[in-house]
Amino acid sequence: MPAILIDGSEYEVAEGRNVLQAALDHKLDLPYFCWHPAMGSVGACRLCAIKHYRDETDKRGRLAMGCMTPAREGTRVSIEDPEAGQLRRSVIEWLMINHPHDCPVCDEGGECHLQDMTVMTGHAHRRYRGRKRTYRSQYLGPLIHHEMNRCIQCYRCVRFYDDYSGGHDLGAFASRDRVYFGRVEEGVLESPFAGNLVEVCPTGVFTDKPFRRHYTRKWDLQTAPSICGHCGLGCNTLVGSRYGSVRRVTSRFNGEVNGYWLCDRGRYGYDYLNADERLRQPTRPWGEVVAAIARAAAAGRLAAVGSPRASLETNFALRTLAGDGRFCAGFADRERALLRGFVAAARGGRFHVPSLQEVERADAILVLGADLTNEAPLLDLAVYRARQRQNAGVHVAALSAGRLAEIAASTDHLDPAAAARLAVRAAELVETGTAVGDRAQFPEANTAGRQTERAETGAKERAGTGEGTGERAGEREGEGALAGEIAAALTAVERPLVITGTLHRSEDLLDAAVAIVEALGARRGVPAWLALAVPEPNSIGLALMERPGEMGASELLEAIEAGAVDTLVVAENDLYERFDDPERLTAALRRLDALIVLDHVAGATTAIASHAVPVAAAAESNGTLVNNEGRMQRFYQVERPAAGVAPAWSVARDLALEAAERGGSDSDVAEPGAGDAPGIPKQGAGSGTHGAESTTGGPGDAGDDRGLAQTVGGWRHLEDVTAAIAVAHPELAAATEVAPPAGFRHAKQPIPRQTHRVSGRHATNEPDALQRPGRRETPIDRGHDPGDVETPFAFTMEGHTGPVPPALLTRIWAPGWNSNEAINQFQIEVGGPLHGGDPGRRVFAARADATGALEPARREGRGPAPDGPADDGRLLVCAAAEQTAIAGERDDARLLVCAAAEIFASEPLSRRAPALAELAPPAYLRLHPDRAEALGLRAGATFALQLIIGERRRRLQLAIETDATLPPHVALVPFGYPQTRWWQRPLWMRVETGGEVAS
Amino acid sequence: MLNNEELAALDELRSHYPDARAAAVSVLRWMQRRRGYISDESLRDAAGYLGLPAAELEGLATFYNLLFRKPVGRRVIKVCDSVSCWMCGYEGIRDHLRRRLGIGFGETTADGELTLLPAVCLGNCDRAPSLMVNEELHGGLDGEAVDRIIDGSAATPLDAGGDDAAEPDARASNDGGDLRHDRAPVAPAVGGVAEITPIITRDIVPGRAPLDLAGYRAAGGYQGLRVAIGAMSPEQVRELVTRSNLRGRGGAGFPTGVKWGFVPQGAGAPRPKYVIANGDEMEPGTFKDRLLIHGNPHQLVEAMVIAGWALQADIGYFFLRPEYERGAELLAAAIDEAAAAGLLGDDILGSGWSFELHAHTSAGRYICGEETALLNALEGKRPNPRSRPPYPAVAGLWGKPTIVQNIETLACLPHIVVNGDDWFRRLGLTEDAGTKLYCVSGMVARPGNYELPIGVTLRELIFEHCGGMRDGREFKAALPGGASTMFMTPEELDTPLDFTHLEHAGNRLGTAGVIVADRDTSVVGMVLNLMHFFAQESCGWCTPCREGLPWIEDLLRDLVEGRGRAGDPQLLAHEMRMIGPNSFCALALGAEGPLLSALEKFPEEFEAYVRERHDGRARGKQGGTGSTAAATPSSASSQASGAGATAAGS
Repeated sequence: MPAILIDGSEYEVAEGRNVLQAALDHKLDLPYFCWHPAMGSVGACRLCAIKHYRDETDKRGRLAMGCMTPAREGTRVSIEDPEAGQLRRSVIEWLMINHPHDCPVCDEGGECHLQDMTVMTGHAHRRYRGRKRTYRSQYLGPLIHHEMNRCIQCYRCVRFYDDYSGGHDLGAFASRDRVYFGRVEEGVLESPFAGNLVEVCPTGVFTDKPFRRHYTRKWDLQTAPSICGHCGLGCNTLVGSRYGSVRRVTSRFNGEVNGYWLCDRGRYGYDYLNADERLRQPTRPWGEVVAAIARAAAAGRLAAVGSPRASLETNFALRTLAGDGRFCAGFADRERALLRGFVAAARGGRFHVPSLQEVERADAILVLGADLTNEAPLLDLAVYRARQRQNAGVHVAALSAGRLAEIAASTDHLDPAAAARLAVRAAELVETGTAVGDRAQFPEANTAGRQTERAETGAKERAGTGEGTGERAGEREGEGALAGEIAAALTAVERPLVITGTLHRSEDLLDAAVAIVEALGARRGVPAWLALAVPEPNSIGLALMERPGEMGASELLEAIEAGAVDTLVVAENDLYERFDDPERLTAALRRLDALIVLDHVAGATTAIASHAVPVAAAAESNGTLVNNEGRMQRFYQVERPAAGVAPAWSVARDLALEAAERGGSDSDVAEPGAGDAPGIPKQGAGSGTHGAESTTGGPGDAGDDRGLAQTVGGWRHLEDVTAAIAVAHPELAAATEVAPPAGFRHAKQPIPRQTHRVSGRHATNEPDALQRPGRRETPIDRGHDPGDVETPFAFTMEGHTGPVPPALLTRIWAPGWNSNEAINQFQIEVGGPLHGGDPGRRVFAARADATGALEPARREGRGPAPDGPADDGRLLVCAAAEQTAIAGERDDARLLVCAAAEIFASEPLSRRAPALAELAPPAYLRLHPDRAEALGLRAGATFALQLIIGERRRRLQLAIETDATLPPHVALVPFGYPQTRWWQRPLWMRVETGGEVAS
Repeated sequence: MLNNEELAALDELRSHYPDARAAAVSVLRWMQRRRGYISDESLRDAAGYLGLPAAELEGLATFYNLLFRKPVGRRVIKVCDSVSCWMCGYEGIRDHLRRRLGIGFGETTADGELTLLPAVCLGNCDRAPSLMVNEELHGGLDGEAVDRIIDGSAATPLDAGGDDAAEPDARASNDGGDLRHDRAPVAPAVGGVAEITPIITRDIVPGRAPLDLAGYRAAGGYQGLRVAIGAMSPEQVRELVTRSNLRGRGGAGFPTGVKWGFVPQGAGAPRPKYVIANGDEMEPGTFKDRLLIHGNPHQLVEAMVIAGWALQADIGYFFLRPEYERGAELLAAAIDEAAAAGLLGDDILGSGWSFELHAHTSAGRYICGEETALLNALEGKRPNPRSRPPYPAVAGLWGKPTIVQNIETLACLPHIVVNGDDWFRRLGLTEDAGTKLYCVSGMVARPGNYELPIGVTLRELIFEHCGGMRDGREFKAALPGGASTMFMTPEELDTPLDFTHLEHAGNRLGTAGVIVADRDTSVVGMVLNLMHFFAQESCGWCTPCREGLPWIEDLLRDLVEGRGRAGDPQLLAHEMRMIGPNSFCALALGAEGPLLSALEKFPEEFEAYVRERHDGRARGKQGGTGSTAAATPSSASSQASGAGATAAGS
């Protein structure tokens, strides 16, 4: 490590840093604007001026920019040098020539990097006496507010938006002192990462528009660390709230996961909390709910449905309430199979599951059947970064490539079966190729100019060849060549990565992806990388918690229909999103004696529930989630739920406790025959979770209600449940370690959720936030805020203000650093991991650097039998099931209707946020123009349509979109819309039009 | 929407560039020529055609001075507002135009006929004041001449081979350009130095079209190329140039051979390698490249091939400012002729070495003359400068080794190759080598281009070659090398104008665009004009230049217009010292030269402006329509001119 001299003191710095980084690494205040840890140095703002001395004899030195001066061994610089200080002051003075000084009405006020730097440099007196330049600001859509007059031309916005994240519609215009950052014409910013402009802009040019509507200064916000719940990537967030409503979400740095960034769904999706569709009042008295459960439990007819959007603790408590064999995780069947497959393979070490930051380091990527832009946006960004950083070859085989089409070396619009087949073929080629990285080994790849040709002839030709959907891999020249190209690309590099998703709920796609990474791993002797984009924040966690014998969705339905279940408890789940036959589901649910739904939003299931019980939303509760890479992370409460509303885990606990008490007293007799339904064990019949495996349960008397009561009776706090999970699931044991315990105190003080501030107004208006005079015992004296016994935090601005463990960062604030740039002060090295390590614990062992040959681990007797297209018998994986299904049912009169993901519409919570709803396109049917024409569907118009699947008909109104890149046999419908909630898998459908609907 | 004919034309244009982005400026210029201006639709059409985001093209369209995003008249009048024209009556021309047309700058007459725009130095400083109407250049104007131009009854414009009737002494001109040296560019015997014949302007004859290939060959042209490729190894050529002590004529004076030494050579060197001729001449007071480009394009083609051979480059570009469109056409024709004769293209003269040459016309921005900004401009990016390292010689155009060389520097090469380094070194009067094109403008009797041995003194230049001060006026000050050099006072008249001596004197030879001010010219007014230029031409990348220079301009305008305050001169000096050396590139450093030297050498003049305001007296005479344009307080001029008196009569 080089040592450099700053103002005469020696500092060790990491290799390859510049002086600005080095200074910040050592927490020395050196002001800057244009430099950004993720985006590097460009030397534009001239603020990080230092004095640079040639050697020890050089007494005069010369002014230089810290960001442009390499920190080499022996580099001598001064920050305190008066000339350097003068220049920094001057830079601020120059910037203030045109800055409007509207801090009191600016949303950035109080967390403005420009304010901080102005104070830090000491500029206080303006000598400029001319007029200020003014600009016209633009409408940039419902998410971002634009106020160009505040601009200080640091160029960070365009560098992030265009260069770093691949946007196109934000530009730097004009020149001299009139440089303008905006769009060519007013309109919605197109990038799904536009919200990050709010954070990269050092002042108030780009501000959070929804936040403006219910504006609160940073110091008035209660803020707590959270995990984004709007897809499965587990991006770290900070949620801010005030006066009973969540006001905004910002990114929380995690060097392993999201870095500095969030997608717009993650940033703005929170507003569903403030939308009308919240469930706020119980529909029946609590006693009735308890009675219903007690009765059903005693009768052995109780079942519970968990949710991949709920925490591990909620799911575990619910399963405990119902008993193992009577718990359904709440996945759709195919989704469940897919996740189980992934988890089993990941556990088996057959590949390495990369973090988002690792994805950025991949050097060849195959995206298989997934639309990352719309399914898991930050994964899209990571792939884009890999392209930029590693020059990674990106190959996409999917119906929609999203933004990746622009950077992909190849994009093939293939239906899921064809994509799987392509991947299987590529896996075969990887396996049979003999020399790593030698393209000559893959003769099919050596079709010079193929790429260009493909690009030019485009969709038409491929559409033509798409006729052969049912054919075997390799029989079509283009596909064989593509498989060869992909195989060659993945084989030639050090860190090949295959990404697939759950959009099509296709196990075949996963199998094919696994086949490739296994072939790559076998060839290299080091596991290759596989990432899965999952839709919900705890999809993987719930899959990891699954036990043998647990019910799937269909089994649950059958049990209800068979009468084996007459009371169902559903937590944070809308069953209508998990079944493809809503009529059958409704009929089954109507059979129930009681449908008890614990949720924080109203939906189709709460609408039909006999007992709807409001529970706390994520922002109102605490819990543990497992993201797509198997990282366990903790989210924390920032807002108090409405009176009488509790987190789902504690509701489940209370139900179990009270039902057990009541059930034990008046009913020891289960109805005979209740447990006879196939596969449904009798309530409390020995295989229960509670009991033997519970840390807090009573002694060995598992199986009776008193045992249950004792078990859950010990769960006073969330931590108790987490501890029980750790015992029941050793794999998840580290769940207790992802964050310090609730009792964590620093010098007996809790961690405040607010930044401290000394002001009379605050003392008057925010009594909760202060110790109340005259009160004997303050929250701080007790070490506990009375409202919050579940976390190390307090709903106050008082408490420990020093460094905290990284998982407990509530306030990105440090002396002199009020803006989010203060995160620098919490990192070991700026841009690097947080002090104490980036939060979260991985379930799957990090295998990125494992060495040694992989054991020829193979399939574990799961999925379709190996009788597919593996003609040489060596390739065990096949894409048979999907392919047979798709090919077998194929006929020209029908369309294979597949799901499309829409970033702002397909996720059921965020789509309720008003700003995002504004951006959601109307539900559409997207198909090849020729097919549209044949069906008499006019692009741009809305049609009343019937989609006919066998006997079933689905009537819906869809806007017609045409896309010539789609295979002619495919049509896309966005999932997650109310009218497409039933969609579960690609299916051949006949489309009948009921005519155009007048708009 | 683009029709098929338009698409065909664009395809032709596009074929000259390696990628769509690089073609962007040319496509936008084409759109503008065809459709009058770049409408939103045209921008979208261009974006669609090139496959680039509209925002990216907008970033270019709004950057360049001569790309119009608003409708303009059928004729666009670009009035040069730079320092030489300002000194010689720009304000009178401007006011006349405003009155006559009833519009201000940036406006178009109601009939949609004429648009009035200010323009950065048109490179016509010796015929100041000047203006362009579309692509026609007019100089030596007065109100009547302007009327004739507006009425369409003016004589043939300069670039088309004619001259302006208004030109007082009807100097010669030729088809190839506005040759402003009024005599054959001979360096006469001065100060005991032997008479020499002109070198790089040898074949440029006033009133004659530039030589074609045959003519150029007959005059001895392409001999250098034959010698270099036929008889010398690339290394030998590089060594020859190093020994010749040729220093860059673009302003920095960096030794050419040393720069060439940074270019990676050998089989392992990155390819392609590039040579770029920097013809983006926009430094106020500088018009030498215009002469060389319009007067003898083949000499530059030959020079580029020699440089290409020496560096073992693959591709060469001429980068020209848009006002030199005629020059670009001449160069393109010369390139075609040379290629047809086998002097360009594959396997030149059987050497096995291939070299291609293109002429690119920019869209008007001073910063593009900065070599790294030029690289970005050529790549089709916003022409902000790049940080160094890496240096262009190692990683330049598209990241490949690139040498950017000024037009005049290149013009020396054939002659060095033919005559040897010793000959070239001995051309200079001082330790510097070669001849130098001195472009003299301002208040001298015979402004123009003079090719003279490098190292003539300022006195010789003005009083021997240029016939002394205009109308016998009194010499007050001169900028020796364009807008970004330091004022020289009468005491400095005997300083040799070369790199070494001027550096010694704390000044720079710059472009050797000598701008001469007389006693009645306000130095403060001159500096205001120059600061306006630098503030206007800042690219907007770094804070000091972008925000600081307009402030400087503001302070100076306050002074000149009577709003100055005590302490303003000190504030100006302080701010300039902070801005200049701390900017990203050398543009603002260039602004420092004239301002700080003016403050140092003419402090009374600045103080006079402050004082007069306090005295409550009139602001001093307005520089009206005549040749003394500046607003100069009477007291200031009398105080400031003191020592200059002796210089006049020599």
